[in-house]
Amino acid sequence: MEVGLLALGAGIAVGLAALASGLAMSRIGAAGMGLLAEKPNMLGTVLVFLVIPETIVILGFAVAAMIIFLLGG
Amino acid sequence: MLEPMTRVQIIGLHRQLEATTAALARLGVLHLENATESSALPSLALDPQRVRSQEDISFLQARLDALIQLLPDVDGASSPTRPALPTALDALANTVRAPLDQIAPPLQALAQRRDDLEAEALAWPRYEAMLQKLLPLAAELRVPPGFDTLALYIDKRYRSALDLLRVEVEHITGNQAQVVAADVDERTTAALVVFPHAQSAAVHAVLEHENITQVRLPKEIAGRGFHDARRALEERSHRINAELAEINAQLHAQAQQWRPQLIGWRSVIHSRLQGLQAETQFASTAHTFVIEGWLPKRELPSVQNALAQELGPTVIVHELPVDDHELEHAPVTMENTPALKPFERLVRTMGVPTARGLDPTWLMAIFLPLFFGIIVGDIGYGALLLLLALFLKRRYASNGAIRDLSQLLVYGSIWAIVWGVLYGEVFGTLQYALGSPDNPWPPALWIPRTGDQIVTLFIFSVAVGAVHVVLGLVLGLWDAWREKHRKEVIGKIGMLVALTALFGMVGALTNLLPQAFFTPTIVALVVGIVLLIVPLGWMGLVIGPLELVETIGNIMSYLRLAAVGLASVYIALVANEMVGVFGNVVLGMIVALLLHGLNFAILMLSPSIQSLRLHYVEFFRHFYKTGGKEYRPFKGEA
Repeated sequence: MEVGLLALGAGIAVGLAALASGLAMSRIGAAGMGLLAEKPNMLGTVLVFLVIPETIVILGFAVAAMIIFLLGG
Repeated sequence: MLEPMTRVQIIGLHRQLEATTAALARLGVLHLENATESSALPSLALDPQRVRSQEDISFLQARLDALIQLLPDVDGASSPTRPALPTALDALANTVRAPLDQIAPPLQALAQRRDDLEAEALAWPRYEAMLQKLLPLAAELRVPPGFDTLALYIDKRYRSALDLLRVEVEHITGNQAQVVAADVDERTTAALVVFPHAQSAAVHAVLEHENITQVRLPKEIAGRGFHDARRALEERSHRINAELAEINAQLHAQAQQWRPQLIGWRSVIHSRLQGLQAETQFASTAHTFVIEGWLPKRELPSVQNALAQELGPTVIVHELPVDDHELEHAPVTMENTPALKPFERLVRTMGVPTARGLDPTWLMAIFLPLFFGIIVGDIGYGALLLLLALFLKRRYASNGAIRDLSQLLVYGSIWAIVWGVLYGEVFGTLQYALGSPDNPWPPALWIPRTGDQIVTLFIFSVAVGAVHVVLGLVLGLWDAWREKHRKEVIGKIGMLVALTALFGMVGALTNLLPQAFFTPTIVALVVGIVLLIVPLGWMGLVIGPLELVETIGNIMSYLRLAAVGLASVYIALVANEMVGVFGNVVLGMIVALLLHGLNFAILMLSPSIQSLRLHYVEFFRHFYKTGGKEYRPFKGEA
């Protein structure tokens, strides 16, 4: 039971973070594509803005890993 | 590093202006500035004759462009060369205009005829398709003399309009008309109407009123019987093809003869126009012209020697003294060794640094491949990446962008192999198959990522982030100190003090440092936050702590070094487990290979982007200032 709850907690941690990250990146990506259609030389800047929200899912992953290894261990 | 630049002034006699401009274009190192702004001299006045000449050669360039477009590219034609043409504008224009006036009209006529024939050739199949559909209907018709025929296409949904048309036409013609109709496909009905020529206007008026579209054939075949029209179409099509082949052969021959020369002329004219454009930035006195600009300091002696040799002692190049304020507005170029050029390209995507700023190319050259290696950290994948990178570098040696990217991949894959040795990883978990579960081969020299020491890996990643971010802050502090930006210096010191305090606090809480350190770290943290707040005034009460939190977030962002790497390890682990899952080794191997392939594709892209992002967002923001003016030397067309 406890293992199951830990797994559930880890899954929620990374899943919700991934959802939030994806939501943010989808909007940034769409805006970025619109910008690139007019200014192809802005690729570097667009890429930077696109990957900024990835920190959210990375932190979610870190929390999930800590739940499994620290609490589960 | 940023190339040291120097400001120069070139003065010469008016009669040497064109030769000087041409020489500077050939040297291609001088970034021109507007000489009238700094010297308070009037600009080089363009006399009306010169303006007319400039317009003439602009027009000639446009004519050459149009003519070159008309002529096909030919293999085996001689390569374009820059012909020796007069320097004087009028003489240049006359030399090019005369032959152009001779060859252009017949070439343009040929090209126009070709375009007309091609358009006609495109239309014929459409008419042929129409006739093909109408022929069965035509077989039912008798067309007596004095009668006209017209063909109609109607959408099947409006077929009822045909009945109305039949009634109208028979009424107009006194029952002398004949209308036959049939479906030609699932959406269209075709109809043929035969009527006396005398009622032609009335019948056409009915068609217009009912908004029915008539099929109109070209005048060459209109009015003929349908069979004759079809034969005429085929003959016409053959004649068009023959004439097109002849025209293309003539254009090909003309292109072989003239294209290289036209391209050469265009190149010379383009260079002269560029020179004229540049001259709008020159100043002048009664007898001399004055040019000002920037060039790399190391190029100054060669420019002075070259101009002295070509133009003699009447053209002088001398270095102007530059104060700090002027140096801030100098154009910026980076000068790095060929090994660092790929990293320079990446730095440039973030913008041109300020003239007195820092060039982080060498720092990126150290940390970017290192981060890539920490994330990938696998001997097998690293070796495959290295092979791929070497192949791409050799295959696309002439393509600058791909060559640079493959060079970056070479550096990164070497570090990936190094970290693979430290983690003891071969394609995820194959080290356990090569050795044993208790004694993997190769053994991990540091910690295995597949073990239970994940937290150590996370701590390591955060520590790497702390070092990298603190390095960025130190560079920012040094830059602010150099530029005497006092508030920025205080802010950077405050951030460093606060971060150090936080690290000490964490150390004291985790017993890495004695407990006695805890209270001093609290005091240091408060001091650091105060130093963050003070330079910003009252707004600092909010912004100061926020900046500290943001910087902590930057450091935590380096967890991706562990997280992204672990993701690829787990994909590889699943791939390796697949071999035994299906009960069929061959099927299992295929699925495993596919998963490893997917993992490999992700590893090519994701670690690079993550490492780049850490540099662009977390590292550069503490010290890298953009907004500099890019160095664009005046040079002629190659």
